[in-house]
Amino acid sequence: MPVTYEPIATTTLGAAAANITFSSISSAYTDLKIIVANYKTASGTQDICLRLNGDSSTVYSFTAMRGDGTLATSNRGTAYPRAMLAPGSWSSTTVPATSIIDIFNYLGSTNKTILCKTAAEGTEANQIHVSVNLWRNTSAINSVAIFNSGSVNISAGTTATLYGIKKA
Amino acid sequence: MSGVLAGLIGSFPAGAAGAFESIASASGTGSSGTITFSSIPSTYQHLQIRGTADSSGAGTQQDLFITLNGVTSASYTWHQMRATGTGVSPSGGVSLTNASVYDAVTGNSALANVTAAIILDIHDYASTTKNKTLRLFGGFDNNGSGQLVLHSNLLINTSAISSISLISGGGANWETTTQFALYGIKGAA
Repeated sequence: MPVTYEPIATTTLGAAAANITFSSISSAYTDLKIIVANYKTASGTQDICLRLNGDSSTVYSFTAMRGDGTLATSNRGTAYPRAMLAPGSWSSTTVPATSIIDIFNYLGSTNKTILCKTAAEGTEANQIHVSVNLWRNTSAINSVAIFNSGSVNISAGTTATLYGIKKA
Repeated sequence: MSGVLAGLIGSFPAGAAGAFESIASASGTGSSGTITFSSIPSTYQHLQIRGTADSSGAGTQQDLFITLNGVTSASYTWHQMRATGTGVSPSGGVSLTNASVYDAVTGNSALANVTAAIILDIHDYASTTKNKTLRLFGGFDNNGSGQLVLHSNLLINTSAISSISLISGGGANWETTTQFALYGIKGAA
């Protein structure tokens, strides 16, 4: 019986780095899932971002919802050069965030839709966040990069695992 | 009902030995508004449906309706949070004839080649003593419009679930860009 849900690669940063990138992604699956844990930034509070196939043209857009313990709010953005997984200065130097990112039909010939859930609890960033992103590009995805919005490094100890999910 | 697909048994893992298995998948045909997974085996603990959803119905967004075991009596209740980019709308209802996920998928006015994505979880589906709870996370961004949906649904019926139908809103069809895949999640032996 074929494997339908398996880890492809895991990266744990031994030192602060500008991004975590999974490249040369296998075309053996239907969907991709990335679980990011212990995500912290080297300075300030930053948005957690994602880039596909190295594309930094302004073809990303998002719709998001956030709960902070008091209010549920929503925001939206267009013409971004990156996917905004948790827009609103999410990650910080001290509060680890965790994200689950689902990329659907990553080999398909449609534009790509990405769902993401992010959570963090702490004094600088204590919110739960869900988002849907659109990458207006019909290319198959072969690389995914996770990074901060403000050209700030991701802290050592951040871990990301890429999974492949294959349908029958 | 056209577009009916029989479920097949699969076998697999998420970590160790086969905890997350692919059971069956189906694609939209452009000429049917219903995709059904039937003859679902009872050998799992939970079910998950993942996929892209694109309706031929009018408007930028369309509804997704779900029926379990073909039940269409008024025994579904629901709650939903929907984000539109400018606000969050909570809503809910009782005595519906299906699990109604409002505004969750793309309609025919959405941008070309844009589809919604959904993750639907059905917990303890094989239980014969519990009513059934569904949970869905999904939606789409349409470059300036779109919806994000967190949805829960209750089917007041304790029968084990053996079939799931995913129905396009607006009496419309599933476009060929629609792809649903059914997975089974095992419990420990």
